[in-house]
Amino acid sequence: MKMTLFSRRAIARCAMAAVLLSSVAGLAVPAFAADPVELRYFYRAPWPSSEIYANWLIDEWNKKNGDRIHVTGASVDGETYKTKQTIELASSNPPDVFYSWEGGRAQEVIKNGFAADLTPYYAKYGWDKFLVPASVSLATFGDKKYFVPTEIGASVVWYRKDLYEKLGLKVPTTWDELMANAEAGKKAGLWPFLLANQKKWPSQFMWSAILVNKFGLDTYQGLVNNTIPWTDPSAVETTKIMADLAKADMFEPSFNSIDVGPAMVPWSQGKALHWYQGSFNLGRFRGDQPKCCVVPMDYFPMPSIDGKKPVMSVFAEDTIMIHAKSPHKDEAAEFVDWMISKPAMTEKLAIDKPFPSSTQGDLSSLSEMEQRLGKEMASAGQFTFMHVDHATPPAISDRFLDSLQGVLAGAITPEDAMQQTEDEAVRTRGKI
Amino acid sequence: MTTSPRSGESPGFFAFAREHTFVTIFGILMPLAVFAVFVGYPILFTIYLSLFEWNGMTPDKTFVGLENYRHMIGDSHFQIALINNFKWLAVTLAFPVLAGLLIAYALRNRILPAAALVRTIIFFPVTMSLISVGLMFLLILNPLFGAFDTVLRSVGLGFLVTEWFGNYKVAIYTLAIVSGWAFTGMPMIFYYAGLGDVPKETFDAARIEGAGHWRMLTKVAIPQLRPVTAVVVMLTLFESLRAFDLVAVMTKGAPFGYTNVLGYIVYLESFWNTRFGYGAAISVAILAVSALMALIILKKLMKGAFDV
Amino acid sequence: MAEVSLTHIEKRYGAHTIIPSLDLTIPDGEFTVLVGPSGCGKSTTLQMIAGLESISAGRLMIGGVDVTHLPPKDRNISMVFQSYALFPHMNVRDNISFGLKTRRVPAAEADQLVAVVSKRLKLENYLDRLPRELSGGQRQRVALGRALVRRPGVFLMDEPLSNLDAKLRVEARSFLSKMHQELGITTVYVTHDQSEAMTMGSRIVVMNGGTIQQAAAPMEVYRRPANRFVAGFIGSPSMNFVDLDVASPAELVDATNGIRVSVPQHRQIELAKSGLRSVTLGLRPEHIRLLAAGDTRPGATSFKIEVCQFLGSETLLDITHGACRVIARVGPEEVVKQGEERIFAFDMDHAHFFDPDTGNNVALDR
Ligand SMILES: Nc1ncnc2c1ncn2[C@@H]1O[C@H](COP(=O)(O)OP(=O)(O)OP(=O)(O)O)[C@@H](O)[C@H]1O
Ligand SMILES: [Mg+2]
Repeated sequence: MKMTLFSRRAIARCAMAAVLLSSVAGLAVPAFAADPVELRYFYRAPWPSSEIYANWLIDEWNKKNGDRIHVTGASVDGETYKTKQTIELASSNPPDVFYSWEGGRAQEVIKNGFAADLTPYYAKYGWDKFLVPASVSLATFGDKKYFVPTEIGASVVWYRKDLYEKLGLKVPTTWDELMANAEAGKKAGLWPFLLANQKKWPSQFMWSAILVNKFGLDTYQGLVNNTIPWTDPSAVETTKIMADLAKADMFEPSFNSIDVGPAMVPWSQGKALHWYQGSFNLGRFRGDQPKCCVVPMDYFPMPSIDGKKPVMSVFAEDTIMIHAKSPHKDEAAEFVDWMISKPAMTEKLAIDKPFPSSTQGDLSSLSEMEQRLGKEMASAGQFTFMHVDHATPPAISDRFLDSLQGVLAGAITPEDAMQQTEDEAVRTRGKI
Repeated sequence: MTTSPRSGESPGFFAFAREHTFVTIFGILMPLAVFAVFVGYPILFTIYLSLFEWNGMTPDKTFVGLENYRHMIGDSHFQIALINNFKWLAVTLAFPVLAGLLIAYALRNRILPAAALVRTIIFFPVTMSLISVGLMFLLILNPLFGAFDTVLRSVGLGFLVTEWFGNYKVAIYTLAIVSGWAFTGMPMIFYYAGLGDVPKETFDAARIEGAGHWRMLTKVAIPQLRPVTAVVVMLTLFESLRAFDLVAVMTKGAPFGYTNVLGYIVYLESFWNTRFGYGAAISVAILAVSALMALIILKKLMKGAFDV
Repeated sequence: MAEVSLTHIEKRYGAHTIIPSLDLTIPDGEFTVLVGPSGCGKSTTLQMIAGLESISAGRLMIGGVDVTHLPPKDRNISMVFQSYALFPHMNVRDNISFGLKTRRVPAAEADQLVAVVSKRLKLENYLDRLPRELSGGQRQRVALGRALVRRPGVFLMDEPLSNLDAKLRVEARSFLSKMHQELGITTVYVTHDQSEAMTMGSRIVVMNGGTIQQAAAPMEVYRRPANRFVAGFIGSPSMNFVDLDVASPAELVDATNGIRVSVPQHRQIELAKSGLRSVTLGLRPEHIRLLAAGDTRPGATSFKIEVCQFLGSETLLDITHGACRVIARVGPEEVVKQGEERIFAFDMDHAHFFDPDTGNNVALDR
């Protein structure tokens, strides 16, 4: 009896001591600053400047917040990122923050449950208030937002201003005017358009622009979103237009053997008149000049065909996701918020290339032409379209790009090309 | 007699194992285990995986039986890749093996001066990574400012200039020849060593009997080099079936899949198109093709090559 | 058939001079043996004649044609190698006819020639076999056949018999000699086996250190060796050499070992002419005579028998007197025992006197 009493009292005393102790300890924790949260950031570095910028981003963050949230980066070059991403995301210890693509690829990542729902963080940090609206619309799947765009881009017709002047040409507003300018260039011994299609992705830019401007945005969306088969006359017709351009020597000779990088040489030498490409090439156009560009050039959107209103392609070039399995989503969101903050965005322009996804980004360091394009994109209220390889799963886009390249080389017919693409699409998504 | 009472009958494995514990463990069981873990298991797993559809991300795989194989038979890209592998093999058997043999012969017979230097130069590309070889040839064969076309034109062979990577009829040969360039040092070293083992007197005798270099090469050297050739052909076969790096760095299958090889298709299908099951099925096909070719070579080409 | 003549032939490997200057003429049809110790340059000389090794300097004529810089095939020669150098992947017929094919001899004629040669060499039943399916002697004959079938002007052989066992070697020796007698092809034969040289050559060329020591008929080389090297090299067991002081042309002495040798009258002139104070006396083992016990003729000396080798047809004795050690050859009928002291005498009629400094034979020196 006495024994029990004593022990009961002892227990009570012990409990009190424990409570006391723990409260003291609780107070002490912030003072001791336990180990910081470790975040892993897995990103794609297609250019040398991407790597430099990412390092700056991480270093600056760690300098300020490293004792609380410490970030480690790991990068993969542009081409292999797709293949590495699958392995990384599915691993037992996945990265907390990772580079993603918009469109079809993003959908796949979301479908497999790797992407955290970022809607609460959009609300918490007010991201949608300063991100370019077009890019935010891209991040929205159903009623949830899954990624944060960090860089946006547009595809336009770049043209050599000096050559235009020399030949007395005017910026075209219709497809026919563009073709007339191209003819004039050809007569003057120039290559009307650069294609630089060795790696087979470049030709899709012009293909999708022609399709959208000839058959409308809905047709294009139908194709890439699996409601219209690739054998649709619109796709075949567009492919045929590309083939005819190739046959009419509208592209540089050996266009299927020249890569985009080396193509900068004839572009700088003034051998080509136009180049329909994405704005991510501005880094190249800028060269080692402080401001764009090495040679006098400007841009205009792909003009309308058949009298329709022209549609410029605006897309998110770089996007960031937070892994659904990350134990530190809140901290990750804090890091993402830093990535799209004004100082980070401004620095990106200096180190890396345009365009920032934030409307707060200071564009004043850019050339007049770039600023103009940036504003045009920022004011685009709606995302327009992205090119095939971002819009569709890789299996389909790869076959599409192969076939398109084959058509341009004159090895297969446009019909066969689209049939092959459709066969592959059936295999991936089933019949429509 | 104190030996086995069942003499005349071969003793069972367990009897052997009891008597030779050390040999059994280190000579038989350990190597078998190593083989099983590093060779057997991956092969079996690949075969197993080839019966499934799996995107590499989801934890569960869908069993599809032989569907992957059925699809493979009708897959035009697979067919192109398979044929490309054979073209590649043909080129690598013809060019680097022959060039290696000729160079080794020339060095051994002092037709070429500075043997040690030439040997080092020819062997050097073997030590280079195929990635850098690929990048280098992308520059050399570049249609805009590549050195190769310039050289061809300057020696009056301008009519030969073509789109080395863009022309779908020649691209695979371009790749194979580049790989051959990087590989020539290997057969050369093998043949160089092999020629050192061919008795010098047989060459002397042939010379005295009036043989020129052609006859000495074909009638004296090559027949006596058959064991070396067996090894070189095997190496070339496996090298050509693994042809991957160059495709990956130089063309990525372009133009339109005409430079795909099986190894690259496996990579594309597995990692790019996230069809790991189908990728595995193609791997199995590669395995089957190599095994078959190795068998043919061993059975036919190299029959008696190792008899003395 | 052809005469071979080497004039001031020189061979250098980089800074090494292997053969300083070689002059030799081999008359048409002669069987000449190059003999000498290992590394003396026999093979090198033969290879230069064959054209397998370049000639650093000098002139080589074969059959009156300057072939110094011609390739082997234009020298009208054929060669048999020590290793036979048969083509292992060709059967006997193809091996033998290899040279005919390279020279575009019509097939029918070639078959005929192969048939004749293989019959002579007793190979007619082995024509379809590969070299590895033949015995050593057969392979050797195939090598001979390949060299013979073209009827070359000069036949070069580099130790062709050294891979055969002793019995086969003796057979092959007489076979080769017989063949040479029948065909009369100029032959240059390299060996380092002096008994082979003695039995086969119509002339022996003894080489040492890349130079010719003596070139003469076998018995001439044996009886009148040009110098101490030749004397020691030819003959088995080797000639005995004893260093002696010339007390007077009539008497040679070795004071320390107590040996006195008197020189017969007709040999004294040689010694006197040379004016040497000391001399190396050369005596073949058969010229050291075993005398009956108690013989006290001048020059008789007591030797201790250290070792006896009974060879059946003769007995070889290792005998010593003080520090002087020589080998004597005695008849099989002599009864000798190891450890015995017996009396021996030098047969000075057959003695050779060599200049201790130059090694030259005093008798041939002029
Ligand atoms: N390629 C070479 N470079 C340098 N020295 C060489 C070369 N070949 C041979 N010799 C040298 O030349 C000398 C003569 O060699 P050779 O082969 O003629 O000797 P040989 O008389 O045939 O000897 P053996 O009886 O052993 O065959 C040797 O001292 C050898 O070391
Ligand atoms: Mg020799």
